[in-house]
Amino acid sequence: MNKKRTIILISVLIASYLSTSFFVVNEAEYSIVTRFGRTIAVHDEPGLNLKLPIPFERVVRFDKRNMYQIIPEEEFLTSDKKNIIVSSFLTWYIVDPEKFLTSLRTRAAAEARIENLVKSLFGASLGQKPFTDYIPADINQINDIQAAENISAMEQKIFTEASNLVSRDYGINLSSIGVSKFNFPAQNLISVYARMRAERERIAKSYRSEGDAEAKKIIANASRQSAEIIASAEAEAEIARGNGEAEAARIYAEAFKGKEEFYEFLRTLDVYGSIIDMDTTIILPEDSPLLELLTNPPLKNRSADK
Amino acid sequence: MIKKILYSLGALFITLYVASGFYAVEPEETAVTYIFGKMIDRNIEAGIHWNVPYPFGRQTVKNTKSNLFLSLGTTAPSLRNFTFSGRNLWMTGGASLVEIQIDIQYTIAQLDLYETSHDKPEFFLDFLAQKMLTRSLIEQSVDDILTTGRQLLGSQIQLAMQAELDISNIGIQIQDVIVKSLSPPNNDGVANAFQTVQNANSDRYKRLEEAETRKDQMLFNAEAEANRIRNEGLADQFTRIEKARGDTVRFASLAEEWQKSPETMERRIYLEEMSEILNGVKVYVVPDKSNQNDTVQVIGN
Repeated sequence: MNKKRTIILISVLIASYLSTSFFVVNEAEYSIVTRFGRTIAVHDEPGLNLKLPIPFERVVRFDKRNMYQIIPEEEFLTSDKKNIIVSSFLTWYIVDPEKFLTSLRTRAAAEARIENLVKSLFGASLGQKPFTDYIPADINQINDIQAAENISAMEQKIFTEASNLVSRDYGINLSSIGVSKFNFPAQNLISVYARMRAERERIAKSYRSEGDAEAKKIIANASRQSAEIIASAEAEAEIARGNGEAEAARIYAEAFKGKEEFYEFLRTLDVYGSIIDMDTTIILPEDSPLLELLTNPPLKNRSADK
Repeated sequence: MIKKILYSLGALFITLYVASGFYAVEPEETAVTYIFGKMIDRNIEAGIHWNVPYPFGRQTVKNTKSNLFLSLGTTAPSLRNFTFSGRNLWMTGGASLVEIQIDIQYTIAQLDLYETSHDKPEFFLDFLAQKMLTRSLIEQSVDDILTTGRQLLGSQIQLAMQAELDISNIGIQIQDVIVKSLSPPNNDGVANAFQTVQNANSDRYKRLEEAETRKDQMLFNAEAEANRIRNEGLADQFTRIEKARGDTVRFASLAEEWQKSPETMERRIYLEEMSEILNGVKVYVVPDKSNQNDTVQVIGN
């Protein structure tokens, strides 16, 4: 009985030892079988596999997926000696796990190398062009539309150069790269804010003066229009008066036809009436027809006639 | 006896083990299954399913039908040496800054791709959004962004992100990019300066409106004045004609008499008129030249 138990125990131990020769290759994973540190086989097909049990052969696993990496903020100088802080990111994946294992071994080591490499490439690229190539100064100029293109071109250039290096040396392929953010250095912020405020003040001022000018224009326009309206009304009124005069003249002419003499007589009297008033002094000669009766009483006159 | 108990325990254990392979997929979820690390079923829809239990098999169940949220700039781990606290400050064209918060709504369109393409798909999504935001912002002026650009920004970012996501085979579908907040930076009185501009702008419109009102008033007054002038002209015309008519009627009746006996008529009228004209007028009568030394006689008062 005791012996039987011992056999069972030993066989269980052996079985569990032998089970270490089974290993699973996961989806999206490389498994490298090493024998005393030397690479024996690279498995990239997922499933169950066999190897020699520990300690003869071991399995090293690497992620086959795209791995993200943040390139932390770094201050760079542009060609016109302006400071800009760039943060970026990239994704990469292992294409040659054996090379990766021999050159880097760990993801942390890979990230350190890639970060240094990418930062130096960013420094070189940014130093070749002025600040305004990436951050346009005056947005209304046509060539400013190329800012995003310039960034893409820079990214593409860094991507190509970095890709060549890391795939040759580390068995890594880059899959994407991007500038995630631009920042101003902290010491520049105060002047940036001051500039933004000054810009706003200028715009506010221009709005105010624009408003003044436009309002004045409207008022000037209105007074011109009112002058026109009144002038044309005056013209109309004058025309009406003229028509009245003409019509009156016609009426008079018609009525006086053949009686011009009598009209002249009446008119002359009217004129006298209008030019002679209370302040007028008239000096008449003695023989004035008006005084005829005064000097020649009708009695005498009549007898003389007869 | 002991054997029997052991056997039944073994049977129970096996039954329980097999039963542990059942798992549920909710209606909004999708699952993928693995056996020995290999992906077996890439798209399992809602229901009760069975897979080989641990340690031989496993499954991933994830919410794929309803929207997932991501706040731009807050998903990925924060950057180590962040130089200033304004995490939401972004550069715009003209080297200005805006404060912006963006939410991204997305769904996992293909769980198998989502599981196998990237180690942290959300981080990648976040960074892509930042990349596209940076690009969109630097090509616009701060004014455009704060006014008209707001609606455009979300759709621009969404389009650009989706294009890159499709290339990277990540199995993510962007549903919406929402600009949650967008304002000038609150630091150093910059926001106040923007407010001043807004006030100046509304002042401008107020001034214009006032001017328009004054213009309307002026034109109204001018029309009224013009109307008065026109009517005066017409009234004068009417008066003149009527006066002429009246005059001619009076003249006609006198003329009729005059035609009968012109001299008598003329004499009568002359005397009538003269009495009226000379009424109250000082009249001096100068004697004939023959007797010039005579004193002047005053007639009337």
